[in-house]
Amino acid sequence: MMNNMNHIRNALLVSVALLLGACSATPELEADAVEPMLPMPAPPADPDEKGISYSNDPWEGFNRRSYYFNAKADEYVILPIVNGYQWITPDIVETGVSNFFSNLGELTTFMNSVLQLKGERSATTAFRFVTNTTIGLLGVWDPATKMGVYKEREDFGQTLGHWGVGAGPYFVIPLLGPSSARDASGLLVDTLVFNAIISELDMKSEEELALTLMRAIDTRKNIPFRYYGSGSAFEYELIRFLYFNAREIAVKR
Amino acid sequence: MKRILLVGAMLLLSGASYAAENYDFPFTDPFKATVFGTPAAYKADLPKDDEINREVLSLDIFPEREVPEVFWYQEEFEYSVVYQEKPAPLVFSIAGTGGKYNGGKMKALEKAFFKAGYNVISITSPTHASFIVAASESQLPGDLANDAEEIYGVMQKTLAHAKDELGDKLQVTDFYLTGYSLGGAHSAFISKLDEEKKVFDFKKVFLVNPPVSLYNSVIILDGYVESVGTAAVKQTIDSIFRRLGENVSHADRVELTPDFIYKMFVAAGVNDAELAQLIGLAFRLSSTDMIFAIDVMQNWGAITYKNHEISKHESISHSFARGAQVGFLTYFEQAMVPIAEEKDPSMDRTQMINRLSLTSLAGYLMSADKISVVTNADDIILASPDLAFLTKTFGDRAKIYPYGGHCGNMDEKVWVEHMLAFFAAEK
Repeated sequence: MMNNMNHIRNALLVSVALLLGACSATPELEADAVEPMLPMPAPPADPDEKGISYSNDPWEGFNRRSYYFNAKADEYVILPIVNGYQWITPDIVETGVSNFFSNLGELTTFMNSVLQLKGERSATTAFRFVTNTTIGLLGVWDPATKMGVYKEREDFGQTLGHWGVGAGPYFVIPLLGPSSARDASGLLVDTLVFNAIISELDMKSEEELALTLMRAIDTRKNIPFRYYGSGSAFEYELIRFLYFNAREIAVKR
Repeated sequence: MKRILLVGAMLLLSGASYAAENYDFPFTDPFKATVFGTPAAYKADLPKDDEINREVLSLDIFPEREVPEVFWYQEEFEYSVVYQEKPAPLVFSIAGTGGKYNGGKMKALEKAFFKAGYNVISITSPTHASFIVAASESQLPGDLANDAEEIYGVMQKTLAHAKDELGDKLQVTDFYLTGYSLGGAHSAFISKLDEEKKVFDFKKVFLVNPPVSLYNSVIILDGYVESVGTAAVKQTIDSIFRRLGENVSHADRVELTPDFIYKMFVAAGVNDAELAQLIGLAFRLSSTDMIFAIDVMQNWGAITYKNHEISKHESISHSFARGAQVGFLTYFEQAMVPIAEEKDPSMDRTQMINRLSLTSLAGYLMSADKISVVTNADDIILASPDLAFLTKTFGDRAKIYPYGGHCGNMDEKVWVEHMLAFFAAEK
């Protein structure tokens, strides 16, 4: 059994590595192509230095394809579903649904606050979860915020960052969007833990599936970002730059 | 000393037609005003996104044109139309440098006009890649008179298309025109063109914070980057992010609102020199985008490989790195001037600079009662003689707020009221 698991894991790792490395982002130049007139500025002296055009992105070929794939998935599948959901659902119900999932998300924040030894944040998050789950009727209402206890977010990517793990290469996760090697692993851990907790609720498998789908729709609904929405040819670079900076701030908090 | 300055300022202010009645805008610092705009508490009361009738439409202006793969998402020209579902006047609204039809300022204008009973068509700036790729004949933006002709054509096409798409929902009685920043300068040239062509016969034209001399304004904006160099700007940005991070980590509550972000900027002690660099960077990003689009469409090979079709999954970070080193000014000197000279050998650089200026329309602007201008005494894109030109040329048709920076006050209450009152007035 264990052996099989190891085989599967190794096979997965190898295929991920192949997948990421296989696609190239370097231009395939025609025979008569000419080097651009304006010279390429010298790369920064410090290899860790990140900028808009220079970043830790060895998987760029894969990432750009994933970015494009996500835009198309958004356009043809995800956003139509989100729009349909918003069209049939009264606003007050949408807010309730968002609150409900946000309340479940406190579990992740709680776990990661504890792992970062942030006592006060663990306590306020636990208070929010208990208050909103009871008085707030399973989290549909958010009385804790009205009491002045505000929501915080902590995920396992932040926890790893807190203990000194660097962000690692940029990684655009298919369907999910911009991330990094560290944050994608963190997401995997958070999801496994979340699912383990959910399975404790003894729901039927189709109920669990519905819950997962609803959570995905609600998550996308609350992110205003649209792929290629800026109209800038350099949107990929700008988002990459902002992602790393925003996450650095999130880790610090 | 302070008192003398104050008295001097009051004397100066009393001379011109300053619009300060009830004007309530919190930033007397033009850099803060330009970067942060109007805080929520000072904004005019405008409808929410879902409280107006608005449709985003796209139009294939050049069906025969093959759009390069790298611009696969710009194949059609997108614009937005706001409609009243009954006969009503229509405002054409033109975005500023690098601005899209759906930018924040464009949307705020749409809401104000919708509330006041107008239809609106919002048009992306000719300097934006979308216009260059999908709507421009020449694909060489910047020459205001030529830009005006292209926008004028696009206005007719989008109007016909919108009428087709919306039917009875869009019924137009009269035409009005507005634009902010570069779109303001464009509006002046379009209005002049419309006097000859009479396609729309605009009732009123409202210029918002236009550059007087495009060249002067570009020198100022590009100067914020050039004076310190791109490496220093990069360090400034890194430092701002770092300080913001430290302050966010100590904030009681994190909210992603403009007011929260402003609070964090204040706490991080971001100073005017740094804000100026942010403004310069934003302008540099717009011009890099513009140069890239032109370069690809014209196969110039300035920041892209000449004779090379960029695939949609190819890295173009190198083009960004190359392009960000130069600005709009380089584009002017290296591309616009030589191309203009080639077309018309009698044209020289000085004449070109004059062409890109409202001063070249002074006679028309002085006599055109239907045009009015609004700007701020501290608008950063105006060089010292520019404000005087506006007050002299427009007389009482110029409304000059004492502060607001460059387009920072566009949704302040009195500002919006003034704009709507100008459009509604009979004269």
